Amino acid sequence: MMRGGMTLNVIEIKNLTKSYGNVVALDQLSLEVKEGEILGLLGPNGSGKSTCINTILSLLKYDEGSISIFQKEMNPSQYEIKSQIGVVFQDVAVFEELNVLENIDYFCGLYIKDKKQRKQYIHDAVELVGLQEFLKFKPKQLSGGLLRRLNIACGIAHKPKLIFLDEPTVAVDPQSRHHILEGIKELNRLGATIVYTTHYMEEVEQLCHRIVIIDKGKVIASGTNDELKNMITLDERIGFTLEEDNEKLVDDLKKMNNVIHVHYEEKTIHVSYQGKDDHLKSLIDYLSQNHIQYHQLYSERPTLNDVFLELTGKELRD
Amino acid sequence: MIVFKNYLKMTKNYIAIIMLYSAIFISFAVVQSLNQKATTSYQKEDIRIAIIDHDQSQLTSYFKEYISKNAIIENIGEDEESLKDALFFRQVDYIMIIPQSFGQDFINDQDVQISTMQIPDAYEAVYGETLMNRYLNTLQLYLKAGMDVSTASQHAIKDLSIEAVVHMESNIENNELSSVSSFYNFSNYALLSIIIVVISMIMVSFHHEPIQKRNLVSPLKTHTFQFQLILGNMSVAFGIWLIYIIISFIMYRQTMMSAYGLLYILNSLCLLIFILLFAFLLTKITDNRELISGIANVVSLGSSFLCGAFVPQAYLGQFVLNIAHFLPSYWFIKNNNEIALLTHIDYETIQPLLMNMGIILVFALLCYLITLLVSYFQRRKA
Repeated sequence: MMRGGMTLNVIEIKNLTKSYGNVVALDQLSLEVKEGEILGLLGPNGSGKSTCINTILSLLKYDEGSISIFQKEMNPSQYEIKSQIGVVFQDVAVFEELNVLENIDYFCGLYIKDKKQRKQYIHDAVELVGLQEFLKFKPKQLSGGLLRRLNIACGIAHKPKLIFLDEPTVAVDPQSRHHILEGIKELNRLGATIVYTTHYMEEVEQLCHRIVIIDKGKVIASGTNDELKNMITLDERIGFTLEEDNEKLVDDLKKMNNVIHVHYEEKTIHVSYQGKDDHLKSLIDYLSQNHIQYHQLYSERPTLNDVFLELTGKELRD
Repeated sequence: MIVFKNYLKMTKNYIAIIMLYSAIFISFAVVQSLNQKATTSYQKEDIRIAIIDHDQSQLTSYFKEYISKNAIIENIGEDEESLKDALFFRQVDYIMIIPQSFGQDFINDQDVQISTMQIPDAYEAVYGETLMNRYLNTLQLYLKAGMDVSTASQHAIKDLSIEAVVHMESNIENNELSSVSSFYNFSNYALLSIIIVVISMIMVSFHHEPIQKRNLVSPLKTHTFQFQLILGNMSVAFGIWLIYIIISFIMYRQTMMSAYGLLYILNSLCLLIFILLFAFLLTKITDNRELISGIANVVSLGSSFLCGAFVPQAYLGQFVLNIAHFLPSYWFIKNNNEIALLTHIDYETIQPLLMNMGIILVFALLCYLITLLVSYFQRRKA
């Protein structure tokens, strides 16, 4: 929804603080989620992603700050706001006693009272996650991937405007993962605003319009994929494997222009560059001129992990 | 009413358990009922007695006449070997050896004794001894009154032949009341097992953290959700209980259609309330399905054994009964047994029963209070 050319903020969080005793889980965290976007909430385990979502949903009390959803302050008795939210939690939340159809019907029924409308919504949800052939299956009879799909269907069947997906692809096979990611894109195309938390960088790069990186309960960076990568000094990483050990080469490379780091291990060299020059051509020319034999040469742009590594000094996926 | 409907749908998963326990229960009730019928038609049974008479007096002659009217006299050898063989091979149940000059000594009121041999711990022996003592005691009274042996013996035989005719005043046959008591006593096991398992398992699913979170983020108001959940619990517990009440009406229509039936139902309803609240408490304490299943078995079997559901309370030791006092099942079973003993029903006779029902409800209240306490601490911890 646009007002005067401005995209509305579906979620606005200001200076949110949440502590568990002496442990600060959220530290003055502020973020905005714009209508119609897929926001990736990225961070290592224990960074505060799930706490952030649980606090937004009023499942957890917070110490300081404010949360508003759809321009209204969020609290546990905001049932009108809750009716427009869908949540897919990290842990599968389905009844073992009910089959696929009954599970979706129950969770959809918490939002949609009209039976006819509910039936249509359930049908759409089942199609979206591709569970048509498993309607009568009990959760125990489903594979891990199918169970995740059911978990998603239960969370989004009521066609919410705002969807929280908390690591929905953990321990999922590639086929199911692809199905789930395509389903999320489809939900977004249909108009849902999505908050997607994960520590799989490739998913975030593939799905999200904007990314917020959290560590130790703080937002350490936010922006689009490219914006985040431009924040760091690393611009290109080139790797190659030598035919024979060459310690002198490592020293020579370190002295070259724009090289910010060289990593050498078992005949394999990774050279990190800053700047937008043609580093690959320069490197190949240098190796040829010095008659250095090499193979498996490759070049790559920085990843979100590099962004995270440079900002925090640690790996994103621990 | 989506939560309530869902609750009922989930109950369908436990129909097999309900059917299994009910089948065991009905089989037991039928067997119990048949046993009760078989043991309540009493018939006098003649035992086999051998009398070795070394006296051969007029007194022993009358004595043998009396015994022959109440038992079957068997002739066996008089040597010790033959007597032992007769007992061993169950040719006789009881042997009386009358010593020489027994008759004269008895008339003279001297200390005399008839030696006996018997099968150890056999009820027939007790019966034989009773026959002998009863006759000799009565005879002695007449002899002391100054009668001669012949007259005194005839009086004694005549006196002991008098039989009392007993009429049952209650319009319900006593054996049926006893069967209904057994039925309801055993229902302690079935109701505890089924209701604890079914309700706890469903509640564990609803209390499973991810599901609980999903319910909390939904627009369904918390009190509406809780109300529907409680309604589900009560409906399912009441439904299971009703099955057993209906079975009792089918099997013991005459008793159940009387005031006795109402007392049994009221008593059982009190137990139901306790079980319901106990199941709530259990799900507040743990969400481990295996543990709940184990506790359900221990509680149902343990209380049934300790409180007299399987073995009558009268046969239980005082120590066991002392422990059983701390279990609601004891008061439930005690009430069932006491209902069967009521000759008539008025406020005075049912007052102790109401008191016992009150004790069961106090146990239920205790469970409720502990549940509130546990909930309070869990909320504080969260």
